[in-house]
Amino acid sequence: MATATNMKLADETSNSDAMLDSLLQEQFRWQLALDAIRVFVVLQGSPKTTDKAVIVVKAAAGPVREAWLSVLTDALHSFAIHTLPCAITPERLLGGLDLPATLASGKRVVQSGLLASADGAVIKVPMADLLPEAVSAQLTGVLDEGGVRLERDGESAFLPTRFGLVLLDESEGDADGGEGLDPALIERAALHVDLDRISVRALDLVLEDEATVLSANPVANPIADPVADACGLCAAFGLMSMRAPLQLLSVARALAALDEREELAQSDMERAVQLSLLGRATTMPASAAEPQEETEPEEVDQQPEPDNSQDNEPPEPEPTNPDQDRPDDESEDEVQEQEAETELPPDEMLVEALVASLPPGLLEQLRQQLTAVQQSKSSGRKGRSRGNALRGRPLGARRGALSAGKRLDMLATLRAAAPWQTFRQKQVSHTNATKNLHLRPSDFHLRRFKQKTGSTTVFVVDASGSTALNRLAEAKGAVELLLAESYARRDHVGLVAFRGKSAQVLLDPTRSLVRAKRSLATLPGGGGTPLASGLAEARSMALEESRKGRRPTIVLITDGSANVALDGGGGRAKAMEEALSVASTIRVEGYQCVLIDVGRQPSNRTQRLADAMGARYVAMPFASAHNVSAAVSNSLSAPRRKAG
Amino acid sequence: MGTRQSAKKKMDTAKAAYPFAAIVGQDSLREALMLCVVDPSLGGVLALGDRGTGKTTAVRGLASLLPPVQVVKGCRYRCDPLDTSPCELCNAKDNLEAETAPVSVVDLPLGATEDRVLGALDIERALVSGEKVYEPGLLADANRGFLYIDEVNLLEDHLVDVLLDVAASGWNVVEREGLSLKHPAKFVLVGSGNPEEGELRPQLLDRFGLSVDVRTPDTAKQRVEIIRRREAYEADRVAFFKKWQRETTKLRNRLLNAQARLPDVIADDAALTLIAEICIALGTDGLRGELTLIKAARARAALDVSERVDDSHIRAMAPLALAHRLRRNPLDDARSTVRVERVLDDIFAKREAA
Repeated sequence: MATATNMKLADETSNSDAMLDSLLQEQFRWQLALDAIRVFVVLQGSPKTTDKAVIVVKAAAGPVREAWLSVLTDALHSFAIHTLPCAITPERLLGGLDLPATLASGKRVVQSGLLASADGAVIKVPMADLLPEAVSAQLTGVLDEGGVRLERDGESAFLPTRFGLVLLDESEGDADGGEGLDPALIERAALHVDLDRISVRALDLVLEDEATVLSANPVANPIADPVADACGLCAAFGLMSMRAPLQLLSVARALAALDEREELAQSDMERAVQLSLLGRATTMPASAAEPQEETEPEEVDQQPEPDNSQDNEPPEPEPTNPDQDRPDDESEDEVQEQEAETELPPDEMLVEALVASLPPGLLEQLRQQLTAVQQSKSSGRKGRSRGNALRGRPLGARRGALSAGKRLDMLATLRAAAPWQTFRQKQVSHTNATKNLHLRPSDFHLRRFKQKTGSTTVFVVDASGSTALNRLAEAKGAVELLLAESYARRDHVGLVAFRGKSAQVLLDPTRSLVRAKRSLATLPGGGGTPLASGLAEARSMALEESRKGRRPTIVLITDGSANVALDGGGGRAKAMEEALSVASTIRVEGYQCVLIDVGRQPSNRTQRLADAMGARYVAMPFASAHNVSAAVSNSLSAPRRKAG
Repeated sequence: MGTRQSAKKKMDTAKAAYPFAAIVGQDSLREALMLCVVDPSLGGVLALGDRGTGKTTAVRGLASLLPPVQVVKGCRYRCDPLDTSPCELCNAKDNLEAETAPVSVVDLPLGATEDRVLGALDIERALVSGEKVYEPGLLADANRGFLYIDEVNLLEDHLVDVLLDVAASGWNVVEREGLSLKHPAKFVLVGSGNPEEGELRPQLLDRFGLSVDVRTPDTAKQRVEIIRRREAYEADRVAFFKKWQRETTKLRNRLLNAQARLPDVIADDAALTLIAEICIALGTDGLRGELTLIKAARARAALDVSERVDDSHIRAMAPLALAHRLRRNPLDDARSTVRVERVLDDIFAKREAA
């Protein structure tokens, strides 16, 4: 009895410790988020061209984000704030011809776009993760060049503009496999804030003594060579882009400026790393003593993190001091001693100091977060490509009303107006007949385009034991050949594999051959054959694709010996029955399908499945990868089967 | 008033791109660009690589380096006075007056509309006076110069189609909005992009003469030097330019010298045989690879102040000229540059043994 009570007590204490820890971490993050705002304002006001106020805020909509945004708005009171909606048209973004005004005046009237008119202001992008590729590419281009290069509608100009950018990333991030914020935008951002793991309670506590955050910095400890440090630090966190050190330096300098110091101090650099690098690190400095060379991002996932994080953890912070996020004097001294004794390169020193300055557990969480992000990245987070109604083959002009997003066919419009000119001239001659041209809305002709619908090939690969033994390598080879072909056709490619108990989406539809090959290469074989799950997964991918306006084709590669049901349970009969029922759903929905039988011999079972799916059946008893690929290419170009 | 002034000032500084001579590392990319200056018929450069490796910086820096050229005075297409097939206007004139003009480096931004790329009907004149006047586009501006497309892999398909056509023929044929004309548009196509963001269409890929894999500089010393120079440049652009003026002039003279030498560089039968051997071993499609490799090796020899193409020139140029022309082999995971190197090692080892 007594021991039980003791244990319970011990549990409670450790629980409350854990709670305190997590509260500390939340406060730490909130302080970081507030510091980021201060730095943002400094960068926004800075005349230096390298100081680019770009911040990525990872946060779901909610009270924490609201609080943060209201602090930001207050801090930016002297700057205008524009909002950039995801659905912005190129005309509004970059500028172009103002058609109504041009027609009314008979002179070319150009309207400037959002980016050019936001010179000196701040642009806020809600749902930045949903920003179409075309828009984000233009944003990064304008940020880099310091101006809009306008080549539209007969206008050619360079409009200088410099604006701050607040990117609100609302993607769930880790496991949803959806579209994340464009990596090109992430790379341009000097500041990275994560509000997702802060709860409202942390924010209440800190807001009271907000002012103490920056002044809590220990006395300046000047750095000899900030440039070398910045480069070393970025490399240590796996950020190989040359923009990262520049951003780190400008954040550190902004911090020093906030503290009214000229010289950069080590504490500035530490804080800058927390604000600028931690949020997007692709690798964690495993140990400061280790050489920092192996920071190639690809190597990271193979490399198991040596579990010596404990060595780097600081002593437990005193719970009575919630503001503590710096190493205490003692560890600072230690750091200095080390510097004198061993003459470590400064970046390693800084990494060590930095690790020591983080609250306990944070680093571990960051690490976990990091692996999660990497996993989802390798499974292809980005299948981004959105249709544009104004693209494609021209279809000629048709009369219609002018509205946003439509393109006027000038010549057709003029042609339509021409026969009426004499008549209209007379009509208005008693008022002001100075106009040369009389256009009526009924003259407007709009350009029409036929958009080529893209297509997506969804590969469903049976990686179960039965296939693995015989033909998995062959199946992989076939898929790779098909991938190369899809690539030549500019198709999207998705990859579903099933083995063991369930199916798994290996790759969301993408056009990147490299990524597709990578995910295929790492596909292991073995286990049961959950055919129904595989088909269900493929079906939902196909459905998603057709919603996006692309035409899906399902290519199923299996030996057809289903033996795992949808619920993960065994039973050949049930498994096959379910597979057939999913297959018939696919048939009803009318996707083009191909089934490649990789069984030892062509079997009735697989043939039946193909019939149920409405799939073209290709038996490949002893086929080479090339044969399989040729078979599929043929059936892809063959006329589509009618469903039902 | 104040805003306009500051806007103008900003524009001037924005125009002063980072000097080419001050670029740290990126030897292949720099060399490829310089070769295209020596021989513009090489077919351009494609720079593919990670973000933040200085692809764009190198290309934009090129403008300040380019030696000026002779153009027909008043010609909107900057025709060469010695050209035998100039634009229709120059063709109609009897005697052409020449003047010196800088080589244009034209940007084709992603958001460009087709009418600005190809040129189109002048809307204002059409509306006001009913005149049908052609307004030249970016392709006209880029004639005899460089056409630069950042993020070329994200370029809209319809613009790619247009480009392919013009890049192949050297002429922009305009048949739209009731206009019917053609003008010369011979340009060096320079593209840069990050392959992770989307792959390039194979047809467009083939159009580029040279391709360069831009890797992030991996020595700490280089990285530190890059940041130092960048900071110095941002701090005081004028002073930075002055500091690099000598190097820039030196480089420009080297290019001029190479341009002059190029017609006399000899590629003998042995060199041609080696090139053919390499292309056969790599299985490159068509003859474009061979032709480009010969041209590149000659340009390289001219840059090296050498009178004939030797094995080292071919060896150095083969990866640039051929890597992007290999048939994609999905079963071979190695980068295509690695595959080229492998074949080169083989061939040269055999030759030495023989």
